[in-house]
Amino acid sequence: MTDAILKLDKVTKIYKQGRSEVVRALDKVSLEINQGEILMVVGPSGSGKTTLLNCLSGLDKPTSGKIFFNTARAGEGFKYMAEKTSDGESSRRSPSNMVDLTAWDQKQLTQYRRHNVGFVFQAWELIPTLKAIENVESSLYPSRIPGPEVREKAKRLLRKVGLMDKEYSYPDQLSGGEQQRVAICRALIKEPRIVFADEPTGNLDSETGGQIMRQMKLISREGAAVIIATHNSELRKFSDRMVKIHDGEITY
Amino acid sequence: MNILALWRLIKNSVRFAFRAKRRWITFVIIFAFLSAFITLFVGAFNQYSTEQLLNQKGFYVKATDEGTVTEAQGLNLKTEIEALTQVEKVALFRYFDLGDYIRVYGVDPASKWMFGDAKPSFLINGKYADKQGEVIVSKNATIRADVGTIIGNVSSTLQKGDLLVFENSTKLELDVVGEIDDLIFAQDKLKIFVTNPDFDLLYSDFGNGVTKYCQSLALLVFGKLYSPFDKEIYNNMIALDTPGEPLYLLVKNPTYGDWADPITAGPDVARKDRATRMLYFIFGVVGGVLLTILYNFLIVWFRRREVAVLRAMGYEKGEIRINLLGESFTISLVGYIIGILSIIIYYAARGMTFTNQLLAWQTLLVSFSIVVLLTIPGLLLSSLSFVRVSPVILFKAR
Ligand SMILES: Nc1ncnc2c1ncn2[C@@H]1O[C@H](COP(=O)(O)OP(=O)(O)O)[C@@H](O)[C@H]1O
Ligand SMILES: [Mg+2]
Repeated sequence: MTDAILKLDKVTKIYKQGRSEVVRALDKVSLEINQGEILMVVGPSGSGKTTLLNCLSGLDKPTSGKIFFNTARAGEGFKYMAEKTSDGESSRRSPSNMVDLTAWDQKQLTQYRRHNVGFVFQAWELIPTLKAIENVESSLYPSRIPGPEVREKAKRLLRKVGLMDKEYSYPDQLSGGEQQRVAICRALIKEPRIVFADEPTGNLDSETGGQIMRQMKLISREGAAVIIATHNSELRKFSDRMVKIHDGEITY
Repeated sequence: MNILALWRLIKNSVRFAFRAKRRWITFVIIFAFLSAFITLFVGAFNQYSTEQLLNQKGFYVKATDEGTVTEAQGLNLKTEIEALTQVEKVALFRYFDLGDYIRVYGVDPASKWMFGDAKPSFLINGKYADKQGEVIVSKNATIRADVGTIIGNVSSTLQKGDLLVFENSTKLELDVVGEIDDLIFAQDKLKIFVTNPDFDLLYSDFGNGVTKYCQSLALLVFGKLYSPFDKEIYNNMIALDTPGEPLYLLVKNPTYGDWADPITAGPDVARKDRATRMLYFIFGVVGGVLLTILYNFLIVWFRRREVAVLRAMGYEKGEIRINLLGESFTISLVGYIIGILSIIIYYAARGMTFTNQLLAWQTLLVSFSIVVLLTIPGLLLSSLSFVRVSPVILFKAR
């Protein structure tokens, strides 16, 4: 049994632009992502980082190739609705429980994200009408966890990132760094198995950037796989492993 | 989806709906206008089918000192008008003076709304005189010793609950069931309003041969009320609630001027009238449905990024829709209430008394269904497209 929670096998994503032009955003990417590690994907703008994360989270479908998810490492509450195809049979029989998520439908992908994935978006994407603490809680609104418990969790997380006095501020009353930290709390409150962070230190000064990276480190120590996409290779010191991406191709 | 989550999502979607203030207020105003217009359009259809409302529209003719219409003249006119095929209903309201102090009016309970001087909406206390033995009196009517016998809880003012007894050759007991804020002249008189049978009884016993007059005459033609009296003589025609057209524009009769043949004039007008009503109804319903859906689409469109975030976070489609519902629902509900209140205030400011009739519950139900209830399918329909759009595309479109 491997430690991998995600495994990419020759994943290619091609975008068609106009009639003839094609962009190879990902080109035969093969990669294993392990539980408890921080993997940094470094590459210049337009190299395919966001596309990679979108494919891994099931928001986007690769043109070809397979992405395996280790259902043995799935979060609580995740139900894999195995199809009765020959493919499904074989994957259930396989001891590693590696299931190809590129074959899943939207419903199954929603379940996958809901119980396994935390997102820190490139532009934070906080909901402007929700206060900081409500943004954090919103991850758990559809869950069975009672309200007071959700609030307690959210408070604890915000305190951890130093936002105890900003709990009831709206996103537009927060600085970029503060918004980013709220976004991280929103991803973490679900205690996800996999955290995707797209340019998490985006346009932050290096001190705040460092703070955030230390936060990421803590998450991974709790057993989650953290995949960070960045164009800033200075952050490599915070990672366990780094891959470079260029024109959709991975180099180690 | 479990109950706790469902309840929390619904509660929050309503609570957070008010947060986007500018968007919320803008759409509330739009929905208020929408509600008012739909209600008026649908009401325009409905009012023609509601007889009570019909009866409140139009003219009545005021008797004047110089040209008072006698009962006999009025009855003649009534007979002639009733013969016209287009006329649905004619109502004649008579009076006579009982002594020099009391004026007795005869009302027909079935046409009470057509009595421009004493409509049920003028009541300030009690109910209308609907059966024999009941009487309504003008407000603050004082009692004089020479007026029959008054038994019961009688002060110097005649009030609801008193018993008014007239005794001459026969004895007539009348329950005072209501007081009316009458607009009729002759303020020095005690005015009482009784049903026509009691009017005739009182006249035969106390009339002493005085002239009975016609207080007003109203007729209903294609759902509009008209006064057929010649304007030259009775020039103090007073438009009550809604100005209508004089009858001679609609039907023609040589006796009353240059009137067209009623038989040929009728169906045309009726057809046109029916077509107009239908048009109003279709416009109200179809237009309302389309606009409601369009505005729901806009509300969701403003929140499409949020939809994308929630999808990426693993919200199910149903959960995202519930999340959007609160805003659409509160906007349409508050807009609806404001819209209806504005109609009431508008009419009240113009001194109209029939708002409760214009806003018949059927009309309100139709417009409520369109504006508020349709929000749900409208939202589902419009959110469909955004729930489908890939978050990848939405995030790209900054
Ligand atoms: N939805 C799309 N349609 C067409 N081309 C796209 C789309 N998304 C990304 N691309 C192209 O794919 C390449 C990789 O983009 P992206 O993954 O966003 O890079 P990065 O995140 O590293 O900046 C770019 O050339 C970009 O223009
Ligand atoms: Mg990117």
